[in-house]
Amino acid sequence: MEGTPDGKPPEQRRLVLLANDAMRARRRPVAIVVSWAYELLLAAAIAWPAAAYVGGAYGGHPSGDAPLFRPGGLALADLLLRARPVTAVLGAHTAPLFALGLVLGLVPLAFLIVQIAHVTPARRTPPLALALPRAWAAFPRFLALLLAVTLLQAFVVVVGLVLAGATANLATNGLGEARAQQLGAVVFFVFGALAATLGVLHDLARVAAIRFDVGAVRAARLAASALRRGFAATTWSWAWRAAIGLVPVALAALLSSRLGGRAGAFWAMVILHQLVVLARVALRASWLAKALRVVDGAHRVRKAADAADALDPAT
Amino acid sequence: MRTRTVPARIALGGLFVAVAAAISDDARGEAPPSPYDSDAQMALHADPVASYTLRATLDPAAHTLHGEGTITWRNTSRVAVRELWLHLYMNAFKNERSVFLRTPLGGGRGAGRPTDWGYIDVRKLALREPDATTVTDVWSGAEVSRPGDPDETDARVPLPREVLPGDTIALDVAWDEKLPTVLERTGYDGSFHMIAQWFPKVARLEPDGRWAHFPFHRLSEFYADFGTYDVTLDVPQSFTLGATGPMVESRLEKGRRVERHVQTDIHDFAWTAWDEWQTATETIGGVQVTLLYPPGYRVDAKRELESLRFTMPYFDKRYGRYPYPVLTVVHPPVAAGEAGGMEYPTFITSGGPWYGPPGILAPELVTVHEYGHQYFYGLVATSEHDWPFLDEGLNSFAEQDVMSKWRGAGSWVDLFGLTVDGGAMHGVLSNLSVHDEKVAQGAADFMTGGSYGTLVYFRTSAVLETMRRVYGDDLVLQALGRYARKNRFFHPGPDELLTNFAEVLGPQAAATLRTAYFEKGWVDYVVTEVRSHPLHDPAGVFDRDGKRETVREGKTAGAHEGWVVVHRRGTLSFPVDIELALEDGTTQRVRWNGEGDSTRVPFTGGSPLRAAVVDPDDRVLIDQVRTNNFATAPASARASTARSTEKLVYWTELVLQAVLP
Repeated sequence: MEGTPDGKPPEQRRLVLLANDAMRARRRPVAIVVSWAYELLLAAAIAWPAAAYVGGAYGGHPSGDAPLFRPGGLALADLLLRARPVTAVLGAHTAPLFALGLVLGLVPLAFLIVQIAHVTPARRTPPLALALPRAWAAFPRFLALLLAVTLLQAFVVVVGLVLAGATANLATNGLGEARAQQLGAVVFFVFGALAATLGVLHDLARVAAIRFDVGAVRAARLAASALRRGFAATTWSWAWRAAIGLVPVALAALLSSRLGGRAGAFWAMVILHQLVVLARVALRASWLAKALRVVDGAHRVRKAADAADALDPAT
Repeated sequence: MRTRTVPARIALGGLFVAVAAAISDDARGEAPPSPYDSDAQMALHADPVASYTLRATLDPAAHTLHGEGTITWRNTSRVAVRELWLHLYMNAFKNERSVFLRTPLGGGRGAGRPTDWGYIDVRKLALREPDATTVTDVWSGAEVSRPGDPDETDARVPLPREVLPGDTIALDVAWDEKLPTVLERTGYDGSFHMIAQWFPKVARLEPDGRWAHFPFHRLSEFYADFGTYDVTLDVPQSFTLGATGPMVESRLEKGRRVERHVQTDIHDFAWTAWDEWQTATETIGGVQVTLLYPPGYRVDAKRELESLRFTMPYFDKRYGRYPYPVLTVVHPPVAAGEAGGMEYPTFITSGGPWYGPPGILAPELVTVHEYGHQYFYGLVATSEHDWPFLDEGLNSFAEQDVMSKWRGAGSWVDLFGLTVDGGAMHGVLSNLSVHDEKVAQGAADFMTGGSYGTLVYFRTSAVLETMRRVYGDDLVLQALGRYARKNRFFHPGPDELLTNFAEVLGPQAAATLRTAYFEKGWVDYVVTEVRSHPLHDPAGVFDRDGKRETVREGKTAGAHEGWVVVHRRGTLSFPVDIELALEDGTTQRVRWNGEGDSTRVPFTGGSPLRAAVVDPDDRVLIDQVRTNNFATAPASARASTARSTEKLVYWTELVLQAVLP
């Protein structure tokens, strides 16, 4: 009870909380790989019908799909235009799978957070049998948070678009079209930043829900309070990871344009691309670990945690 | 009102056949020379037929204009005339009963209606006799609309006397005009004014005495006689002007800016006035190029100038020297986008947002395209109403040709390693509507704006690009260059184009061109069968040396034989390569002249035949279905498409990471 807002007795748990400084993503490589694997499998399932369509169209070419990658895009444009009749079929498969994948993705996300935040009494990484039920139990709360934050973010973005457009229109006579549109873009950027902050708050609420085993509303309050205490540091922690996450994508695009089509490059590209995805998953895990430390640092009774080091029998 | 009749088209076909029959070689490596392969024999000036001395005063607050002046017109036909036809195209925006606003065509430019109407009221049109003292009002008898057709863009003006062939008349004219909110190339947006199709303009009289007059139509552009335009523009002092032709006088008086622009050898005049224009100037090949752009659009202006630095010398070389001293490029703001992407003599409008990424070459494409119209519309003054493919189509080919020479495979898009070529896109898009309507028809005859766009622009271009790829760059550009030089300042029709192609490329190629444009010509090469087996001695029962011998299985020699069947569907034919891919990785190429419906290509090789591809170098850009251009032998494994699968999965992962909760 001590040190946790929910007050549940510790004997109900077989996992124990890690101390604040001990919550590091790098200590949970398996959980990161599980998250990456989920994304890979989901992406493969979503992309499969389109890939099969390409295979059906160009499998008979002696060079396979190589014409689709020729400069100028003739074969690619032709195939895309010719695919119009099957886009409804592809969409009918892809859209629900995409939506389902997004919702079910809450479970591996919760699993990742549980893994980062906990340890067994023997100071080992939580096994699947213990972590997965905990993650599954968090699913309803995560879903509620997802729906609420998505609605809020959509509202903020729409308001931002409307206000940005209105600002640009109002300013056109005085500033000229380009400057007015730039001013509109600044207005939208403010709302975009607000939507991103809501995303940060969302993550803080999720980790709070796991860390303190509380409901969605309580988790949101804890998150808001934690964000208020360290707004600049917390948002910066998210922002630099998000920005750095673009670097491997750009590097891979650069390498891909140079290597693409060369003999033997296929497996190099597979490895490179999956390393990019894995690196981005790791950055996400790193941010979630940071979020855990932020909410924990803001709400936990510090001395109890300090005294217990990694193992806190009170929880 | 169409001026090209069915009998004329039959005559056109007859002329073409005669020319084709006279030239027997097909697509020679070298065409017989013509003085029009260089600028030496090219006309230096147009025959001045309709000249305008006008003065226009703009009230930018009320968006009104008062104009007055003199029109001088000469009867260059073979018959006397008792009437004039005047185009009053600003009336297209007068009400929803105009042909322009009532024609059911969705999408594209001009699809909306103005929020503020525009119209022209002619106040005076008077015939001034040569003695200069007798002036006869002719406007009171004018017929602005026809019974049952309320459109007021095409006025008939009876004359008090006949105008004999060769005679010249002068008309004093005055009018008041209200500009619409910017729509279909003209109008205002705030203090921005683009003023085109703005003055009473005499329709062109064809040599046989038929007036080529027509109401303002959404899909149609213009057609007029050459002449000299001497136009004085009067706007508030704070406004910057851009206009057709060089400025020969400029003064400020009583808070007004007055500029006089004079240009010979042109057939239209447009101008713009705005108090926010920024300007950039540069001399390219002796031509003073002026760019007018909104504040904040400097990057677009630079990109447009850069595209002209390549394009203007290239067009000089290919289609004859640009004959005017000036070129004005107007980049309207996005809010006035309907004013963009248009051409007038020495005056073009570009377009696009200030934030367009450099890898998407929209400002360059529009600028190059509109500059190309200085030739295919401006100098080679075809009827844009009757034969839009002769201006928009030929110009689209010229545009994609120069863009691909300048920017290579990324002539449309060159972004993050993805390149999209304009020629390729013309080919793919042109196949969408090929069976719907023919290319060579009047603008007003097209059923939809979509088929007009894909056929007139893309099909015309893609057919020429296919011929360029099949018959060679030099021959096709020689034919088009000869046509452009020979017909400079004239008003050619399709027969002149086809004649030049027959001269340079031979009758087969020119017949292909005719079928493609006049008969909805199409083509689809298909590989239907790929077979091979080990070459062996024949098996069976043989009578040898008086004995009967049964050979159950012939000896194999390690070689393989087989065949590939290729069909040609459609009404067009081009010579194509057929590539045979063997299991050992080697290839063989066979040339098929493309004639006939099918060919069986025999195969012999040291390895089994794995697959075959017809047109492996993508020369036949207009091939209707590209995914049947190849086939794999039944016994051979299909090739891998793992690369595209890998990319699809990777891109999906990135999308998921962007939206995963």
